[in-house]
Amino acid sequence: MTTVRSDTPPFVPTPVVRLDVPAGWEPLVLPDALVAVAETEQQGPFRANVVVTVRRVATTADGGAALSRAVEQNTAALEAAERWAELGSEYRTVLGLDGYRVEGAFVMPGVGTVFQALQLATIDHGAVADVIALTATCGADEGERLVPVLRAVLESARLH
Amino acid sequence: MSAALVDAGAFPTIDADAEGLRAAAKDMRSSAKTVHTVTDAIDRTWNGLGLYYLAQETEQLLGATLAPKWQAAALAEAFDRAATALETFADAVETAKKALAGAETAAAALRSDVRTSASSDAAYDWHDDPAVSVKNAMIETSVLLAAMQYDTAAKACSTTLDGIARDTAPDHATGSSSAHGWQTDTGASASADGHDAEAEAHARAGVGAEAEGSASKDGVGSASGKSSAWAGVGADSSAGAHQDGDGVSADATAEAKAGAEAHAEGHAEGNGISLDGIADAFAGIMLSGTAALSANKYTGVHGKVGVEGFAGAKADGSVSQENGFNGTTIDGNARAGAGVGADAQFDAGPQGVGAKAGVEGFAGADAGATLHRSFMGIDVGIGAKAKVGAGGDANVGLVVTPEDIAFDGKLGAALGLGAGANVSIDIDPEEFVKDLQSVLPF
Repeated sequence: MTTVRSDTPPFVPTPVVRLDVPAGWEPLVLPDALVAVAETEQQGPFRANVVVTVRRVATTADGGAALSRAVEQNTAALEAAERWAELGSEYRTVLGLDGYRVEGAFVMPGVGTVFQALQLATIDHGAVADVIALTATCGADEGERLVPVLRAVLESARLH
Repeated sequence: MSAALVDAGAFPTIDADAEGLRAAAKDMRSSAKTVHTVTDAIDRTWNGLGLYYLAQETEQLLGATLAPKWQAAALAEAFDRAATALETFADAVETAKKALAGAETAAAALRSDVRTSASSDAAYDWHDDPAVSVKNAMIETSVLLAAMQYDTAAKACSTTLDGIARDTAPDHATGSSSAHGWQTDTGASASADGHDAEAEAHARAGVGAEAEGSASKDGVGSASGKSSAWAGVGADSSAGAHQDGDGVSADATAEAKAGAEAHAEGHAEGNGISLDGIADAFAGIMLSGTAALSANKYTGVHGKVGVEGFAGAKADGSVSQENGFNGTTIDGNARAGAGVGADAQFDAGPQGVGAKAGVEGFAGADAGATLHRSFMGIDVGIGAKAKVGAGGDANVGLVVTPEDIAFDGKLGAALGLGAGANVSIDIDPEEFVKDLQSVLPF
């Protein structure tokens, strides 16, 4: 009998992500989330939050394919959102890796307009890659106060 | 030695009316006290609503009541200092007038003596008469001294009043007015304790009937506005309010329609915040005036709503606030007709009170109000309207209750905490992004 471990080759452990959050924010334990934080007290009809998820996907011979596909899928999801309006998008370093970020706003049914900043990065493990998504969201009515906060939390994100 | 004999007809005259100055000082103190008492009662009453009044803007509105209270306190202090200056000046006026009257009598007697001496001696020259010369010089000196003391007192009074004005007034101001400065026609009384507040007033302690101008204070902000009928406390008004553990009630007499003819609109900005207000009402005008005096008391304009509610008179007003990014508009109207008697009760029950129910309930009559929040000028549509009759059939307005967190995995975790059904954020995403780009660019 041979023992195979999830954290030993050829497998790789799940990435560890850390965030710096300001006072007045707290951790949230959520399904599908690697790590999540939210403003402790809801200031408006929407509770601001930052959620980090990780998804392990298959890679192709093209090393950049994982990131490209993740961007494509997230772009499709955002564009499918009600009245999506993009503030900007760019490929840039995220978590010290090749990455991508996009910001914009859309209408969330039952809630209203929300601002969302999304950052994507991929860790190539050969046959598979981890797609790490950092999603920061707040109500548009609190945009002035919270957009800088969300951006700061995203920029604080580090691996390990 | 003077070359001429003193002439009482050439003495300076003092037109200032000491009694008038003292009366003005008395009126100023009385008016300031009334305003202070009323705004203090408003503050206590509004804060007493805290147990029932649960809405997003609770803190904002409750906080707004502090502004008029503080302003009223500052106003009372300024009025008191001004009144003291006027009384001091009145004393100086009296002293100077007495001195001049004595000099006039002495001058007339001296001239009579000189005429008598000259009639009996053709060669008589009063210049050669030491007694006359000395008297002449003494009278001259007493006149000069009286004039100098009066002038000093007038300047001191003026300096004091200027100092008070500088404390509260803008650094730069322009404007026109057909009004009178410290116009006072006052008769007012007010009382308040932990539960009841009553005020009656007929007063014109403002700065005029029609005025238009703009002002700014370095490092603070600027304000502009125009008004017709500045009535610090309003004219012929009476209102009463009662607060107890069960709620708040108010009654108003027909005379409570003070300021029904009053109209004011203004704009103030500073520290990144701008306020616009327009009011056809009672003390809203008063508060607009105090806001103009100190541009960093922005929320005072908000307090106008509370004052209107307290007056219980006809009041229509709107205030909008722009904070460079977000904005808030409050529209309000309150009517308390003659039909609303002392037994018109409003009970803010534990079922909750709408966003404006406090105002309307305080008015004790039918009233409506709407709160709009805007984002860079986009109307957001958080609204509430409540009609509060004598029976207190208030609709629950902007009560936000916490709900469980929902996780929307599709869009990468936009966590929405449900707002109450009465609240929505209807912001156009495209407009939002456009505005965001200008303030917090990508």
